[in-house]
Amino acid sequence: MVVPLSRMCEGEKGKIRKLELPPITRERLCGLGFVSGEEIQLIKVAPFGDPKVYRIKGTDITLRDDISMWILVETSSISLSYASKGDYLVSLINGGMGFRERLRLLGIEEGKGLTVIDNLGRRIEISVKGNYATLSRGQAMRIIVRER
Amino acid sequence: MKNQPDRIDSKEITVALLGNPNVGKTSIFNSLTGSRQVVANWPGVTVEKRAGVMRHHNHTIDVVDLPGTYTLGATSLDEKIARDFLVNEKPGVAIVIGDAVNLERSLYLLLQVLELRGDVVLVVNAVDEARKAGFEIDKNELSKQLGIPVVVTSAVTGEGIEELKNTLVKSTKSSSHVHYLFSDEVEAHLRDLSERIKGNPSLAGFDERWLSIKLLEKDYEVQKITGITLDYDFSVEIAETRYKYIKRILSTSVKGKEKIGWNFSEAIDHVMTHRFLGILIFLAVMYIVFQLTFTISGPLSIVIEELLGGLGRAFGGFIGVDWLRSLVVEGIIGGVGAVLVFVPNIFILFLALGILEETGYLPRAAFVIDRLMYSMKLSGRSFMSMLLGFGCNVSSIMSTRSISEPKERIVTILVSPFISCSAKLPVYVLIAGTFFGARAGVVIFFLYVLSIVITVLSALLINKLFFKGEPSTLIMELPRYRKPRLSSLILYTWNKGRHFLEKAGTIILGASVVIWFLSYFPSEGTGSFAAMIGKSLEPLFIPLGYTWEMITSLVFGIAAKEVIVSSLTTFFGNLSVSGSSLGAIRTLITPEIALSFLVFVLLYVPCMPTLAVIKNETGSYKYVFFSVFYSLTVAYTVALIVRVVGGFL
Repeated sequence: MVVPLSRMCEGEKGKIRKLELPPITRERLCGLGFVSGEEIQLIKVAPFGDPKVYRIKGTDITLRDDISMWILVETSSISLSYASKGDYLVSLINGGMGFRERLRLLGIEEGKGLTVIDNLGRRIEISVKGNYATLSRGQAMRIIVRER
Repeated sequence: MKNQPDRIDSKEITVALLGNPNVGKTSIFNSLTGSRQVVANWPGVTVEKRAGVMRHHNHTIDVVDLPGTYTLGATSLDEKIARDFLVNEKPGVAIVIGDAVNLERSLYLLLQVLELRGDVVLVVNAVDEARKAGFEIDKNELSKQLGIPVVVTSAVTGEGIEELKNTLVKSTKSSSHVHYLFSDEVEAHLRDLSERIKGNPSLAGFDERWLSIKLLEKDYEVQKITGITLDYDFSVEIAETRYKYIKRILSTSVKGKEKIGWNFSEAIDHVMTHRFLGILIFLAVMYIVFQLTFTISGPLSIVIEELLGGLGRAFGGFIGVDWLRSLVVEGIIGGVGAVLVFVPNIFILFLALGILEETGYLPRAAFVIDRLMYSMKLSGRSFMSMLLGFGCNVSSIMSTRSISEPKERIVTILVSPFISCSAKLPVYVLIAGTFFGARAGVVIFFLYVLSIVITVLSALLINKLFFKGEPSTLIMELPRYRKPRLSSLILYTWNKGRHFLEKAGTIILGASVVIWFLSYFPSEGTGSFAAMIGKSLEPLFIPLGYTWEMITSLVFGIAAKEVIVSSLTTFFGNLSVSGSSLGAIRTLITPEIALSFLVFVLLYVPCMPTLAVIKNETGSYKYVFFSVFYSLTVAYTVALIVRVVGGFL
């Protein structure tokens, strides 16, 4: 699926599809290697959620969301908090032991499937193997899923 | 071309250095020119211009360090400077410095230079790091593919520097521009455009293929000079073609693959930019810089003070004529000395900043704090500068050189003087101590908070006024961590710090003499011009309720804020009642007027050295006048509010 770069999750990789930026910024980004087909990875999120560090062509570049939202990337996975209704596969969980353990009790594990029933912005309703669960947006943000 | 003789000794050539930021351009520049460097601003703009002289055998070569850029577009100031220099000044040789670890991006810039002109040398720097990372660069293959000389260097080990010098003094005439082909469609357009451009004699000095490419890239300036505007835009395709070409070259000339796994840089970064630790580390680093600057420099400042005191006494005993002795001792030595005591402060500050810059921490700090600054339409870089303002506004304004965005830099420069610098503290202590006794601490704390509030509000306002509220953008590379080298640290500190010495020797010397003259003639004390100035300004200050002595001290305080303390004690010392040197002032004004006076001292006109630095760093008197006018307005308004509100309490 194609998502704005700003919506990628920590650790995720994608391929640049398109830059919808004005020529001024676009030229600068071209010089840094932001051309379509190039692989890009979100490395780090700043303490207050913005800016973010991306790795492209072997170097780390910091961009704010106001720029990266105009760069479209093709990625096979997204954060659960952006997932619309449908079936997904959990590909990555960003979090410590405690977080992983709590999710495991809900049946959410890397490599396992889940279904999004409703995504209302603040809360995300899911079902895992027939059991219903509700996750906060913050929790869902740290779960990376892939369409099935 | 083989038989062309070496360049004739007597004829000087100019070499321009180009490269992406953080590729070690400065190190190469330092290696080539040593200490024979001049730092100035590019005419009309605030970006630093560095030039130096390289001597090699019998050759003398001028080396100009162009700002670090990723492309040769005309969209950012840095790019425009680099491009204008290549187009208009036509340097004999252009050196493009690339990063061996990341050649792809450097070659993108190189291709843009090659589209524009021949006579280019590619320097592949940091080859030691590339070897460590597992890359092997085949410079002969690279040179063959590109058709230009290629030198492999390491600024750290000194490898390749001699070879580079030899290459530069030899004829570097390369055949011509590199020709790589775009798609058939683009090439057809390029041919058409070249024909149109050839027919225009005013464009004879340019390469028509370059102009044509730029037209297809929708380059605004090239559209203007050629008078051709196309309705199609091939910029994306052109960029992709360049990268494809680069990939092909690198596939044969660079061997090896980057090692997988965490490297040193990543491991450090994990901690430095950590969500929670990052902020703590940032605060700790700031605290250390702050402490270093103002504790180590303390004793050194005292030494300078003592030396100047001794010098004053020596001259005092030596000169018989009263007025001349006063001019030399109080005017010149006293005035210039008040500023010279800041020298250790400034140099240590720049040393600390140099370490942060050289190691690569500065961009990380900016990254960590960026979100907060964004609310003021500024970025993380300006925070560093503002924080340093608590020590001295001069150094804080000088440190804005690390801010690459010009408008953000101007805003930071203009708001920095509102940060309460250390020179204002003696005034607070004196006045608050006299009027508020035990509550003096609260008053001083209030002043510091006020200074931050006014700085934030001013940043928002000035952004609206000058830049129509556009937020600054942030596209910043986080370079690899590097071990700082002593020689470059010393050059860095000296290049930045010596401006301050030059200022002390010129502007401040002049101002000191003028102030001395005003307070000495026609007769010392209440009969002086200084007193007349204060009395003539009195009507303006009736709403604020200041006495003429206070007004005169404010006028003198423009030279340096500490002067307010010495002038007040001089004036009121003469009328001294009951012990306290400032006892007299308590019978003349009320506490709310005293508080309003402190607010005025905090906010009014930046001191003379600060104004001089504003002029120097912005390159324009417009901002100096704005700063004076704006700060006076703010000071008067806030001081009046404080007095009126204070009167009710």
